[in-house]
Amino acid sequence: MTLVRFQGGHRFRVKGEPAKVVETLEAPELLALSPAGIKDFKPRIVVKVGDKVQIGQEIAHHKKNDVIKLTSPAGGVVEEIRYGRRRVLKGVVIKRDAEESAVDFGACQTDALGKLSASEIETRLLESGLWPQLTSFPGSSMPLLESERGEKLLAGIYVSALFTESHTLETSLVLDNNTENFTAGLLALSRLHPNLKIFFKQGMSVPEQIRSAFKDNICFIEDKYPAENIGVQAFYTKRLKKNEFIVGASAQTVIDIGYLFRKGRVRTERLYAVCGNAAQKPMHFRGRKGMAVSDLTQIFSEQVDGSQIRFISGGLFTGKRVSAEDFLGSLDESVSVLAEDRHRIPFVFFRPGLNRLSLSRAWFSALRTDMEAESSTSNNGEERACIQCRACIDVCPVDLIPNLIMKASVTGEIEAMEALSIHDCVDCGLCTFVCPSKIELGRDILDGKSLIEKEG
Amino acid sequence: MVFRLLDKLVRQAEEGKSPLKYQRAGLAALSTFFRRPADVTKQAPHIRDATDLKRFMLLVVAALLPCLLFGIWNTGRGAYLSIGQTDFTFFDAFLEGSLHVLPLVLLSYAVGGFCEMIFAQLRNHEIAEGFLVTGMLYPLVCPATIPWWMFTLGIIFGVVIGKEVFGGTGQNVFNPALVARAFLFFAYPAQMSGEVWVVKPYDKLADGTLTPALWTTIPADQIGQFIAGQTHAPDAYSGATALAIVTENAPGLDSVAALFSVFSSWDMFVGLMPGSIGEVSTLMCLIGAFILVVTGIGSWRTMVGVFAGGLVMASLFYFSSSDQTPTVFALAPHEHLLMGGFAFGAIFMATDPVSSPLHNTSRLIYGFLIGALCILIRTINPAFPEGMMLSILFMNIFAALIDHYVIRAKTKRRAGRV
Repeated sequence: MTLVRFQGGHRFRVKGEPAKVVETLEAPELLALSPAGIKDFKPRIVVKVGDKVQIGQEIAHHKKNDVIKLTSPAGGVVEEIRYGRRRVLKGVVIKRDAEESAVDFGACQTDALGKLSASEIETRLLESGLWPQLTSFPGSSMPLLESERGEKLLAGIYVSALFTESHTLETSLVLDNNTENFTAGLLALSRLHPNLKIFFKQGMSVPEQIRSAFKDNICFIEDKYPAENIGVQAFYTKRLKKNEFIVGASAQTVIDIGYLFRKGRVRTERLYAVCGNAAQKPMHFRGRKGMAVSDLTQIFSEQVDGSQIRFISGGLFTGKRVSAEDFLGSLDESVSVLAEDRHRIPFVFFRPGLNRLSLSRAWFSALRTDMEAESSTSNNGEERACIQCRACIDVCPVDLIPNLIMKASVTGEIEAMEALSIHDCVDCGLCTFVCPSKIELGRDILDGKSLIEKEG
Repeated sequence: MVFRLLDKLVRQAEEGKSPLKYQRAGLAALSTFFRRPADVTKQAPHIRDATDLKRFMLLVVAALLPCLLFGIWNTGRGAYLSIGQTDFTFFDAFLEGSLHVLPLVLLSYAVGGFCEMIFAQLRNHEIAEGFLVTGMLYPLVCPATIPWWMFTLGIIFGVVIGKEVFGGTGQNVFNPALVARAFLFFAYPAQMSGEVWVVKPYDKLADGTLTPALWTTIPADQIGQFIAGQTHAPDAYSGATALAIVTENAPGLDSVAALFSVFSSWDMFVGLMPGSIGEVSTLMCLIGAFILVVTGIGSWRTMVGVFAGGLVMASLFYFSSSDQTPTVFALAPHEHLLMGGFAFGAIFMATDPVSSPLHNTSRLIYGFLIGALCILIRTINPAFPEGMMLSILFMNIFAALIDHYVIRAKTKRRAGRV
């Protein structure tokens, strides 16, 4: 059981973390199937308004490959198919009925599960709609199917059973009462590829059942962001060759997979974390997949003016903006509610700064070990030119030179970007966070990757 | 309040209302100087580090304050001593020095800021924070007695040619304060070298009273004539700097002995000697270095590299010194570090992040070459008693090249591992 250490990164302590208590929410009347956040998924909807659907029934599939499906989180009647700007599918809204029948995919005993082949596992995950919950690195989109891989080789399955990003879940609460499902899920994933690695936070006591079944697969990793990033984990355990990729699964996805094989049905329960300084009570809630942000946010403060409140799904570094009417998709598990900080602090840069969040030692807050920083959305300055201060280099967890990659990306120099190992970038957002010139390094690096993909 | 009025003016300027629209850059700069901008993050990550360029530059200015304050006092002290007056208080010296130094600092910021404002306005950018540091560095590398018009020309040249034509802060190849200083050095060499005598002669008024006139610089070879032509001894004069003495290569003169007859090592370390305003005190520079390294703003690798390079080169000369070599060869290596602009250049000039290389190893190499080249210029070339400014400017050209090879070696190693 090795300890993985990595350079750069930072242990953040930001206010608004969810309390380590769980409250169960009543299932709302309306739930929706939302493809939000699943990269490169172009939905073709196969139901219409008025259709009766079961939990786990196909609602939409990927236009490019119809075996990749998204399935219903609820049993009932299709109420509405909601579109957003530019005909982006916001959600297929289902009105729950009392019984909520579910598709039976066939339960599987543990020994039988342990003998299934990789393609059998893949097929089951595809037909149940769980496949899009898996991610891959490099790229962070759905993993390539066996049939699509061509020359690309799957090098391993990485399960992140930890959260270090600010405003995300508490792992022990996720695993509580779910160790059977988690273990079954790990067994299923191990059939996809023998190189299965499960990462826990350094110092966490792993539940006995998991520890005994997967002793050789467990790794511990330093407790600092971005330890849960599978790109970082792979960088320090098995460097990927150019044609290799790995598949990632979050703890809740593993539980969903285990539940599917054990019970033969798609799991509808989900643990959510509600965080942030504009949330009345930041804590954990047991809810349903497909809830609306506003179902969780009944517990929020009253202000919903868009210019005053920001809703984020995901952590503070990698999360995306959502609005209160959006539905939480299969990758969403934490919602952060922040008051926009446009406060124009007078003489801010002259202040000693005992409370300022900074990775540099430019403020007196660097002397404090106990500080919990405000979760302020202020940009803390306007965009300027790069001054080569090395802040981005010192914080990068995979030893890149982000400012040079940014300069190569902005000028469209593909060879320079490749020479600087742009594909090792894990999109953690730390370089963008620290830059004193407030340059959007993460966005520039992503643009560079897209350019390479297009021209490639 | 004042802030709200200022913001209203900024808004009007941005909307294009004449004549305010021509003040847009200046007004916006004032507004964000006094209060943090209201910008919020547009995309992930949703929170950002509190450190911005204003904080970064302010810390450099804070690190320069010991040099500035000491320089003010030392200028006043020099003024009193050179008229033979030794019973002056600390405050007397500080006040006298302030009268010479503070106007230069204000002038530097005002003129430099004005140039920056014009370029920002024309380019429709914001005024960048780089000049907050340049504005403080430039007076500190000039003598206190420099004529204001000459000083103004220097800063204009430094900001425009040294920085703005390259694209502004972040794009400059050279350190702008050093470019300004180099301009003065090559355009007005007599006034800038250590051989200059600076006097404050007396004027006789109608009623027969004497009143001190403005500072005048007299080339060394004319000083005798000038004093002879005065009816009264000048009010003040300052003499040659330590470097000027030790690099003097007259036959029969042991310049090192001559140096130590005027200044002790301790004098030179503390800075009790004439020179440019901020450069004299190695001690104050080291306090500044401590501030820069502790806050992580200045690279200790560059600083250590410069000192190491200087020591190595000076040792080479020291161990090869003999009766046939110029006497300056025999100067002990560590004494070199105390004289002239060596410490100041190593700590504040070479560490400018924009004009120095990016990689840690490159910074060590760059620093080493600066230190070595500086001592080389000082010792070998009689025309340049001080080599620091030139060696930093020269190495600025090579900063990108050093980086190119170091980073290429690193990326090749990394690609090979996959």
